[in-house]
Amino acid sequence: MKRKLGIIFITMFLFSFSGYFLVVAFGRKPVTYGGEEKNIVTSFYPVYIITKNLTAGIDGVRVVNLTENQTGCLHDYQLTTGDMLLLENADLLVINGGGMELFIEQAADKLSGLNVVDSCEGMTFLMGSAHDHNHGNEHEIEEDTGEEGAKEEENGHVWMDIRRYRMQVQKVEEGLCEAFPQWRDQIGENGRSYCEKIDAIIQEYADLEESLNGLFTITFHDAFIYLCDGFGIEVVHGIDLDADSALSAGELAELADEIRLHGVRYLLAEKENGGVAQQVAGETGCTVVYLDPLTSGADNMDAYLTTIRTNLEELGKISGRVPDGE
Amino acid sequence: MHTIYQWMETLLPFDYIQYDFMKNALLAVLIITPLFGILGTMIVNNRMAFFSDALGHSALTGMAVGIIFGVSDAGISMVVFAVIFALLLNKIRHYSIAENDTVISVFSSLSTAAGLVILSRGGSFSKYSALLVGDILSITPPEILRLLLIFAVTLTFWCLAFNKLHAVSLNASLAKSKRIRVALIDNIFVVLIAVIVMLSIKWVGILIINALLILPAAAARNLASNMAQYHLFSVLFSVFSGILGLILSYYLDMAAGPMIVVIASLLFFVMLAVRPFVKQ
Repeated sequence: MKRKLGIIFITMFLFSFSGYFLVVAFGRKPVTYGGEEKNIVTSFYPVYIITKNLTAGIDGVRVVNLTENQTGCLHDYQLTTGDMLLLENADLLVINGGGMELFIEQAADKLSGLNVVDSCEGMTFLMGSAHDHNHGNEHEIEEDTGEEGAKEEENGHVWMDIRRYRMQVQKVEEGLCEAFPQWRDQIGENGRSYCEKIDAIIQEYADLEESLNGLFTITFHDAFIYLCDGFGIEVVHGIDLDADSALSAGELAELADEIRLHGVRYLLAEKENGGVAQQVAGETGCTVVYLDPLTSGADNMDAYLTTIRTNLEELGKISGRVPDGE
Repeated sequence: MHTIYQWMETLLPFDYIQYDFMKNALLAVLIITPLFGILGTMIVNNRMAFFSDALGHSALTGMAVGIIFGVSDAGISMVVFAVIFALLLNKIRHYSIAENDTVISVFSSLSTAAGLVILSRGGSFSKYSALLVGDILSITPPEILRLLLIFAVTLTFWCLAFNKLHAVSLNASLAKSKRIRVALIDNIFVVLIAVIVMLSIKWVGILIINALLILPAAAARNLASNMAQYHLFSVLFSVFSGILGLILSYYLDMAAGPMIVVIASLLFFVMLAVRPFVKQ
């Protein structure tokens, strides 16, 4: 027995020792959170870009995006120990809201003391693709009912509608000013200049609504429902596809029928998951228009504006409108 | 809870312990792993490894059934479904003319497929994929308390009924002749596994929960020459893998559950290698 226990403890010691070397060689380097620097953690890409813009030029603020290496939507994102550390050391957490950050709700108990800015607070949400026949009507969703059903139907991809995105910018600006009154002026100034850029794009594409209004389409990502809503495009069927999901035969048939019924000519899909859209297009003769849902992208201040402009130009091609400057 | 946190900070002067999520995860590991170590011994003895795997997979169907009936707490529907599933499976595996592994495989496939069919309705299963890997960092104090309760129940059952359970495991007919209520003991055992698997699955994940149940006991079996050693070694391996896995996952920024399983697997292979030199 003693011999066996001896072997077991020696093995355990060797394992721990190897573990120690692994940590020294590949472990997370200690991050210093001390000093006067304020840590603002953002949940994911759109709110990260907003916060970066609003805090531009302010010394003593560090903006970190929680899900920076994540591509695609965040339904299955899991917080790592590194993320939990970031949250524990954060002075402010900026989230998109609208049920997008389920991974944060799971850790909500641990974040009770953390100051959170919800960029969608008070906003009216559209329905997600759980309610298939979305015809662009707005449905008010009760927030935080605590029931899984309500969460599934809520579509939180509000940033894809540029007007709603502007509202998000204002909401985050309010939150930042409240949390950091010492930088109120600078944040306000940044907010004004960012909103001006957004307004310029809204102005530039104002006539797009007229040419797209009443067009029927099918979306393959919940984010595009908001883009359509902004321009009066009728979504006759919405599907939220992830890389690992596929459509059933019945759903494919239903789609084909709806396309014929409504005379749909364009399908809106994300390039990464465009396979199913291509399949439907092959079946029905529709054209697939590839758009960017802006769930991830380049790390620069104007990344949102550049990408949303590309999206709008793609929509412009549908309407036959040649965008300004081309 | 605050007092326990303070003790932990005093006893463990490491930087990972200053965070509440690590304290909670460590507490959970300290409850789950000995529990798995103890239960695993009998699961391995009774050749029920595949049985507990099938149970893990039934979590998907349990969750799906809960959604259909509008149960707000998915945990309740998962436990209820798993208990029914375990009892049914236990009954059928005793009566069926097919081989044990075939029956279990049928149940396992059915429960996985049924869960996927229901949960993927609407084209997206990804919302539930978190259940596959689990996340021990999001465990909360009330959930730790629930685990502690089931730990106490398991220990009590083990103290009161271990000899009977062992007799049933060795030879059911012999146990019956000794007036042991074989079916009852067997059913309580599978219900216990069902409840524990369902209560821990959110933290450990469907894909690896079975590994945690089986590996420490399998590693211990390589060395142990009696029941006491078997239990002791199994619990030791289980707790060690749990703690080391959690700490490494913290410093290496990797998922905790799979890390624990990797360590338990390595332990199994080391014990397999030293077995000829130790076991007479």
